[in-house]
Amino acid sequence: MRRALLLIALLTALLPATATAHKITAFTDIEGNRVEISAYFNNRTPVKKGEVKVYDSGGKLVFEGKTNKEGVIDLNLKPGKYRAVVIAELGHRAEATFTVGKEESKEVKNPPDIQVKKNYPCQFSEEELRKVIREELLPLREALLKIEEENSEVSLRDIIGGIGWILGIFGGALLLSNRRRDG
Amino acid sequence: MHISEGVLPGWLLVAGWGLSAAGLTVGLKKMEQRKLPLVALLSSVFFVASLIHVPVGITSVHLILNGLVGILLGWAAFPATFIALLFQALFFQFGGITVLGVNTFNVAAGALVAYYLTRPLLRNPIRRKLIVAGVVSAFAAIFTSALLLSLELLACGSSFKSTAALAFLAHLPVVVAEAVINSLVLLFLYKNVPELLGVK
Repeated sequence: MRRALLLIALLTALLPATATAHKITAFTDIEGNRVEISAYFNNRTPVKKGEVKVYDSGGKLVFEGKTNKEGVIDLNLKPGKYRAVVIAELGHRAEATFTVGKEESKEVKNPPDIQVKKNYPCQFSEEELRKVIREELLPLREALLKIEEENSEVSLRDIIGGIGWILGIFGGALLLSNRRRDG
Repeated sequence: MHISEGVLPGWLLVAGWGLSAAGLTVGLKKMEQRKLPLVALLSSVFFVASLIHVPVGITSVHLILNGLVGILLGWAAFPATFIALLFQALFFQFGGITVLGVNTFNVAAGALVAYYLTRPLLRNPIRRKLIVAGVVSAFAAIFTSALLLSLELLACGSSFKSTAALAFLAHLPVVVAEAVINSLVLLFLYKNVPELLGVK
């Protein structure tokens, strides 16, 4: 008996934590042209080796790959609107749409603005400015991603609401069939 | 055991709805009025069961409990699991609405197999028979569902062998947990409310 239990424990320890979860969710994080797609099961375990396919707005497949151990995949995309599909074992699938913004331009087209204000020189190039802004926005972006992840989790409100609905439906059915029998 | 939206081809979704509709019809016809509260209760139990994660080793699994639903409800497992899966899809985005037919069939068919396999054991129950019924129902129900799931995923190009192996292995701890739960529930019901098991 003990040996059997040990065997079962071992087997489960070796299993990927996948099959048992009920859904996966895909998240995207975009920085310039770099897109990071991450996928999780509903118990927050990463989707390892999940198939990732990215389609452009015309529905053309533009990227195909697999997530790493952390459930993350990085890719570079041209600006535009995209749809990412992540597929995991046992029929799990998630979708996410995202937009990649304007490409960073290396040359600054209109430097005169800066030259006008001679007392207030700006020695940063557009690229550097973008970098600074990006760094400043990083905590905000992380917070947003966290909220998005938390939203995808099951809430107590939903659980209790669901039970209420089920009991209500069957209660209603009972009421109806009682009326039919009595009437 | 929820297949997500957009994985299976259309004909399979239609077939799933057809089979589930047939099961629902039989289930609703066979459902006795006085058993309605029990159906409601087990539907809620099934609804919540998949949210209960049991940590085993480094991973965590969650209960399905379609075996228990099968033993106690028989064909009424169809309406019970259908309603529960509907609200899981609506509230938790587990599975989905178009695949609801397929998912209901997978779970309820497992429940029915458990029902028919354990019926002879419950006719003249003694402690040992009840425990065996609990274990058998857990195995039969979950493995039937896993088998159906693996067969269906063939249609979207997954290899049957690897999907089935993964489905069986991954649900092994669930089967063990449910075998214990089902046995305990059956023993408890036999002692306190034997009429629920059809025992006079």
